[in-house]
Amino acid sequence: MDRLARLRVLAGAARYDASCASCGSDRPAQRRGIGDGARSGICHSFTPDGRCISLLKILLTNACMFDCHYCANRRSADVPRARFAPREVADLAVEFYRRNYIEGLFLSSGIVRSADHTMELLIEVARILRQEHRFGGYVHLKAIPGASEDLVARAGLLADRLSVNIELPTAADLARLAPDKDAGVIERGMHAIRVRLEGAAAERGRRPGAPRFATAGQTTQMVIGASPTNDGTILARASQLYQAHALRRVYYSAYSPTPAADPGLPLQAPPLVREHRLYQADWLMRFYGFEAAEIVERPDADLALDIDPKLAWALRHRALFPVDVNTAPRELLLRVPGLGVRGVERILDARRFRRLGPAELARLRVAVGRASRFVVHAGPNPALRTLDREDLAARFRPPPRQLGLFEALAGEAAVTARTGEL
Amino acid sequence: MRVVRVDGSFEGWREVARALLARGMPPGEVAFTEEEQLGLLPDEAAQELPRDPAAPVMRVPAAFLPLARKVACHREPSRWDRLYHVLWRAVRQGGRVLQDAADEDVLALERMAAAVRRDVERVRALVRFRRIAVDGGDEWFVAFHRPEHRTLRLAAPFFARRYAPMRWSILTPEASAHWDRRALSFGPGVPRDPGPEDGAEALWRAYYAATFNPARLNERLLRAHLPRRHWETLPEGRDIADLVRSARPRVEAMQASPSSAAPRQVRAPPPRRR
Repeated sequence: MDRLARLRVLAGAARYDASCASCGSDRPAQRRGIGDGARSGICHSFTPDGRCISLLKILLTNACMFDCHYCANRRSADVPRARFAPREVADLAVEFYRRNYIEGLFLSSGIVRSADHTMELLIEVARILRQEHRFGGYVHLKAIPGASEDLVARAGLLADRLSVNIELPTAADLARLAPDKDAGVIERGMHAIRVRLEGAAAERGRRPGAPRFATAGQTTQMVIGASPTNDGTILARASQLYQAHALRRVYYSAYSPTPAADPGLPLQAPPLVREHRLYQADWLMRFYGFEAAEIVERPDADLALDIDPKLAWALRHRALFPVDVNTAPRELLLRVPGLGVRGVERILDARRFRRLGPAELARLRVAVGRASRFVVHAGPNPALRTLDREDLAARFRPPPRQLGLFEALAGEAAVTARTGEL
Repeated sequence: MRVVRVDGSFEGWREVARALLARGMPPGEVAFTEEEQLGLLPDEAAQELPRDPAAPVMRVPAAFLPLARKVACHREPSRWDRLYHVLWRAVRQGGRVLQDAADEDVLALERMAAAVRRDVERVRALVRFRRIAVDGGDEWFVAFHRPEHRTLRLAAPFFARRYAPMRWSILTPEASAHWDRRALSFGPGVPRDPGPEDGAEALWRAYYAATFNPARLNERLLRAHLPRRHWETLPEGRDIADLVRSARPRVEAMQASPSSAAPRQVRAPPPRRR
């Protein structure tokens, strides 16, 4: 196969990994080299699913020893296989980078021969980029579970970000759908990265010239909808991962039909709305001060699909409302549906100058219509009368309708769906 | 009402505004224009007015200048009047004016500045260089882009930092920016894309098509993030319509032919040596 054909196979094989973020790095451009790593990455393009292209996201090879049922590249899938030599990937990344197509490279691979062998190939790509091309752009490497700690340490010195995929929310899911993988091994990999990250940060605190280690931290991804695990369990798992391994992000990837899909798994549209609700819940945990257990009604419940998790929480806790936008503390404002993190900051700033009524809130770009059912402000607020009505929840729900494959994300959710970082 | 001509640059407006401010000209009595046929030259306008001894010492709040620099790149013709209005109040009432995010004038400036900031980000994101071989074995990277506002000057330093070892030019309809590996310079614009193709574009378009998962098609979100008017200057832009059209049949084909029944024991071929 020529280079173009192999690029098609290996980019197509990598597209199920949701992460495309290229931020959190901090590497100034060097006069002699090309590129820099920015604190906030750039989305250079968007595919027709509305997701951002920031990185060349590609596998080194899609041949794999493992047979994970949900994976497009599993051993038993009847798909064309290809591989790139490390130098080919490094050269391609630089060619794309010089034309301002991308911020850098996100490299993963099927497992060939052994975890260590595969990891060494990934590291070789990063080494060629950094040392031979003097490439200063963004590099995200997959850390292969079970690879030796020395290799992880080398990878972190070259990469901006490392990630070990947790793959599925529970150990039981893994045992059933990814028989070659082991949650313990995966989490040990995350732990090893955390130890190195913290060691390097402490060392740089003492000695500013000390080497940087994966300055954009580590992330992970889990596939949603391939197993029957509920959202409460998924969010509890994400919360545990955030705490145990200091992850920057957990990505949720809706299980999607693939070429030569496993006939034992749901061959339906990817659950995009559910994925979107999980990201919203994830945002609530990371930026709004919510605990995982608060977000779902019961520990084994799913998130509502028709309304967002913050509104659902507010409807379950009506006694806390209304909240006064002119006096309430930040933590409480963050719980009001319609007030986002930035909106709350703007309210806190503006209310030092004047009392805020509906006109001021609108100017602060707050979703007044939604928020007004839950707040008191300086003006009259007839919407507040609905707060105690039995049918309040129904007023927020869209009329019931069967969602088809291609309209799954229609409506408000479509424009706000995002997997990128703030 | 006095109509004063500005040359369309922030520096030009600042000169005029300074002179008017020193002469105590209130914002309601002056209007700015970029039309060459209209308005007094800045010098004439300034000379007509005596200096106002009661005019306050000009202390411009620190936050005003970066805000004004961005607003100046907006296409909205009323921006110069708005800027003068806020400047007048800021000089008299102090910098607190700028912090009041619910003030209508400040809000208008913030909105324009935000639009310009977004446009600068779009320029950084959507410029696509093409490599052109030039005499002596050197290479030259040339891009054509249509920014929404006049943002090339604000965006150009980013490219100079990131692509320091490359010789490049970015062409827009109104202006062009050039980097010769040492210094940035600016020149006139070109009306349309002059560039020949670059072999890497076929690879990039293949990548763009392959990284898209047709089962996730979401045209609305695509258009929100990547407005149609930018497709024309992107190599991948010409493939979008086809990818959208073919998404549904591709997914239906995948759903119709899952992996044959019992292939789980089959081993993948070992990676081929090349």
